[in-house]
Amino acid sequence: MKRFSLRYLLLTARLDQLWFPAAFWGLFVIIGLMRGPAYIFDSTRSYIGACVPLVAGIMAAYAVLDDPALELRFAAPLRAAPMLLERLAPVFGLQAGLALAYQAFGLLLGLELSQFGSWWDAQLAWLVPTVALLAFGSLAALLAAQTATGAVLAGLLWIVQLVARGWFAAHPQGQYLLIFMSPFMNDHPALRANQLTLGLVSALCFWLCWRLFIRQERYI
Amino acid sequence: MIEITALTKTYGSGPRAVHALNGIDLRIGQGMFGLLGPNGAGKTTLMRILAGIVSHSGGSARIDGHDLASGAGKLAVKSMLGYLPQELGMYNELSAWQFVDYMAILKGLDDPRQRKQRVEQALELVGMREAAGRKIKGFSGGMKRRVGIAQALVNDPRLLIVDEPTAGLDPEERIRFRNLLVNLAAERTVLLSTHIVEDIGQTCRDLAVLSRGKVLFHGSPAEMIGAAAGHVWSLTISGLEKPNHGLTVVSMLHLADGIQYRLVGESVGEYAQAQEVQPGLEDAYVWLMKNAGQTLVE
Repeated sequence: MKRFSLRYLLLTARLDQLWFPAAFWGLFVIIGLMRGPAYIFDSTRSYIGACVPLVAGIMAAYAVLDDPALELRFAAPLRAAPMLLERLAPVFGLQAGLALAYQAFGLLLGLELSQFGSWWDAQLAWLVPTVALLAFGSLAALLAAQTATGAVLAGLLWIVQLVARGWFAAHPQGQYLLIFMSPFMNDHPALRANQLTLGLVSALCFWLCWRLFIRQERYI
Repeated sequence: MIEITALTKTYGSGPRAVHALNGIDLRIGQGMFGLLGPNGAGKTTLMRILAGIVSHSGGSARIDGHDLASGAGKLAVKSMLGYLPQELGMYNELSAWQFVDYMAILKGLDDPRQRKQRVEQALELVGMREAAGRKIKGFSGGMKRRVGIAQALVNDPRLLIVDEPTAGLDPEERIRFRNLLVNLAAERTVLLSTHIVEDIGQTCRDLAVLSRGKVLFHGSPAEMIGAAAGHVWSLTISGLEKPNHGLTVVSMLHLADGIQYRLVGESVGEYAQAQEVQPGLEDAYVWLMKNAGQTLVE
């Protein structure tokens, strides 16, 4: 039994949650156009490496619990993991689509993806921080059993890491947990270890989300 | 068959722990079963435990042999469950048909033809076929409740749990809703939780009264009424002084020659003119609560 409907997933999606990332995309397109081809790499890096992860973290915090029919869902024979996947996958899919679309826009203005390293490195530049903040945002919301708290904590982590990224990059342990190393310090010697660590931490966050979400009574 | 043995539920721990259920024992068979009690008695907690949403702290709860302590047991129970929660949240942008259809998908009705048939039947049953294409956001409270019951019925459940289903409905809607539940109980177990005594009296042949997480009474409405016999009086007083002496006022009516009170208590005391009357279910409920030391707001 699939117990899933893409049609209803889209029909029940809140439109304001679509405007929010779309507005940021539009803003960065305007910034890209205003700053011109000379700065398109910086604009692209800022959008895919910082803006996309932030929006993913905030949206993830709202995605799971902000559901008017949550109690009815809990009463249906649905397992926790597919329910989580159904709520978080659209957030990731949307952000992935916007990150790719911005790169396409950048290429039209003469963006050289090779400045990130390989094509794959360019994708890791948004993928690693986006997945990390998405996992953290949803975990924070589930831990607090409150969407707003999850969003605030995701925003707090984002700003602390962005402001103190130099300190994190220089710290012997902190360098592995710097969310913004992939987009902003892709020549750092600990880059691969950082990506691997963040991947594992994100997986741990998702696992904790699943364990928390099994305890449905926390959320009604 | 629902078998509940020594069921307990505690929220939190330490000195701030809240004991919502304190050793509930119940056996519930097919038909309509009423769960009555004041706000905070533990009705919703018990309903949610039986719906597999809340985990119990101690004791056991089994439905058709499925143990609600295990994840597999909860899933099995949810597969045969129809549930209407007290606070019914819906997707207001969907039409009634779409909402029930979506819930049917979530409940595992994959075959589109069978699902369409079930959705139509469920909406027909609650009298919502005509309005099926309209968006939920334009519905009255009663219509939303009917859509709620339609989604609960769409998988043809063997167990239907309805928590405070008539709260906020107008009298006509309430009567229609009660009749609908009675019809549904002909071939399944329907668990009706309410604090409206009248709803239980009109529909259930078996009921339990909960207070502070304990079962105060389990039996038929007639047995409950019988327990209050000899403890209900009618008294008319010309002055403004309210009857006391441990008597609880169930109702009062202003007449030309004074105020007529309906009283419940151990004895009528100094009011020799008081006349003993046949108790109703509401009187019996007040008598039960009074004996349990539950303070009633007068």
